Amino acid sequence: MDKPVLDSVLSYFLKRHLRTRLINSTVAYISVNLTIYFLLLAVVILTNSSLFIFHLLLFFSLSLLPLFLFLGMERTTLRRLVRSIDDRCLVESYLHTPSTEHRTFMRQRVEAHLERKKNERVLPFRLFRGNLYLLGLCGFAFLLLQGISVITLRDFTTTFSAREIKNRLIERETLEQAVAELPVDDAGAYGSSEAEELRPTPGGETGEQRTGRTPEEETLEELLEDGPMAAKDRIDRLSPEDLIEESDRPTEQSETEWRYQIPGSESEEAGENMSGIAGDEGRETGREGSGSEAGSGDVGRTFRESPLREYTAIPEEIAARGNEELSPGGMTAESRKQTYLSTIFSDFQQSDNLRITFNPLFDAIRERYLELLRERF
Amino acid sequence: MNVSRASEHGSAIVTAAIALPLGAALFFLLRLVEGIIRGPMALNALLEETAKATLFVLAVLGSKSRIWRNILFPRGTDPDFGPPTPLLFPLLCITAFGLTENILYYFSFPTSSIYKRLLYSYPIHLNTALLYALGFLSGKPLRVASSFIICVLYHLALNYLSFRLPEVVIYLFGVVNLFILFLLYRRVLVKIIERSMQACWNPK
Repeated sequence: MDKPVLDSVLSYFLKRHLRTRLINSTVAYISVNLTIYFLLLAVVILTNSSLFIFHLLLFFSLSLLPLFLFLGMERTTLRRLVRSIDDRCLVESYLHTPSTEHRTFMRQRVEAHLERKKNERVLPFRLFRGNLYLLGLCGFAFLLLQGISVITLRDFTTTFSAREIKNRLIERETLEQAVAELPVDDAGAYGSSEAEELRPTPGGETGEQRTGRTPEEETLEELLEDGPMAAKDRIDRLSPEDLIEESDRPTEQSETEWRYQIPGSESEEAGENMSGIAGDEGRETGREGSGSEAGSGDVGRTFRESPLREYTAIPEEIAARGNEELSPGGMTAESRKQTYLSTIFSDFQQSDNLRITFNPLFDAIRERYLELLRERF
Repeated sequence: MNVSRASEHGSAIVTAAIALPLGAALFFLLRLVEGIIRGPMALNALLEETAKATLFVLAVLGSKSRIWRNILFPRGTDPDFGPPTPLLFPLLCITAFGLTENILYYFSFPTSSIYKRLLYSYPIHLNTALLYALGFLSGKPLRVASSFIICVLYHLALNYLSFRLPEVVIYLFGVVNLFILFLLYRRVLVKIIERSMQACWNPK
């Protein structure tokens, strides 16, 4: 076997070796970059860092391809390759010996050995162990990203776009800002009187059961606690102006809703045009609903805002008046003071108003109220 | 085996630690020279390619110096590894050169066009570096000279086209550039192994 023949045989093994090496280098490069990409996205979600830094670091990591290819390249030798296929050192001995006699003696064996190895399909493709670890690391980074995404953004990250994530973060921030601006004046009052909150309600519910309820439900409970007559008195003290204020509620709602919009959107601009200064609406509403107005006592703003309060008081009123028929035409002198009733029932003629005023929340409150009423009587 | 591998990696890390900052420094030096000369694009391409070729010449000369050989190739005389091939140093220098260029571009124009450069401009530097490596591995001055001419033309042609081609075609060219990169890399590896085979056939 002379040098060209040996060259051609070894080049076959060389090709297989290089293919495996090249694929492994590429897999390592892709794994490392994917890992870095997932980690960078996770950092963006956690710290809301700038896209400039994100792309700078991503670009830097993508530019590291030459390191994966070139490092170790100059130490690639045929000897290692030969040793990997030459367990009895036949080929290596043949290459090394300067003696022609020895080469002649070994030639047949070397040829047979190389031919057999060629048929055995030596040097099969395999992923290096380091690459398996890198792929595992990549999977871990992916899971970490999704975990962080679910915890922080309440959703999985499927687009893998930093810009999308930034948009979602901005949206969430806007939403949090809007929620923070919502009128929550009574929250302190509720929080300060924990003992009062934990007291069992007339319906027999404990504080824990009440946790998570809406303020409307809480106030209904308080009304029931005062007794039907006291509740009636408190409702009676409401003036028609209070109801007029309630009629402004759709406007307030729309003002609240636009704050949930993404900044720069059309609805936001409309909201700004309508109100002048963005973000003031919530504070104004808070002042309005501070609960310090005459007649409202400690009932609470949220309750005042509900037109259902008057409506749900009707069964109590019927009970208080005995079997007296309640109709717009049947107004007595006593009922003259109660102009809010006509205001409420006049709304009933307009189906549009019904759609606006009654929503599932109010229905739920009404049902709950009637349920509590049935339990009591 | 593990000890020799660790030593091999250590050698590569030392080389990278010297070559990468040097490549970045070379970029700033060339920018300074180009700023002073203010020549046409062709002259700039010529300057850059001359600098890259000089790096390979320096690496070959350095491998002949005992001091540098001991620094860069501490196991160079080990018969297990064959003769040292002074390629890593200039290749990493040129990598740092291209990387610095792109990062400074990103600082000036922080847009997504940086990824276009990653596919188009960056492989120009890497491909020319591998072409020089092939020329120097052959050991023939004529091959080295022809590599230099090819590299200057290749660099100049792609620079010229980058101003005239639509964006989609530039990205396609980028993919072709990467393909050429892998082909050249494979060819360089084969050459390195062939050199080691020559060492096997002429044992001392």
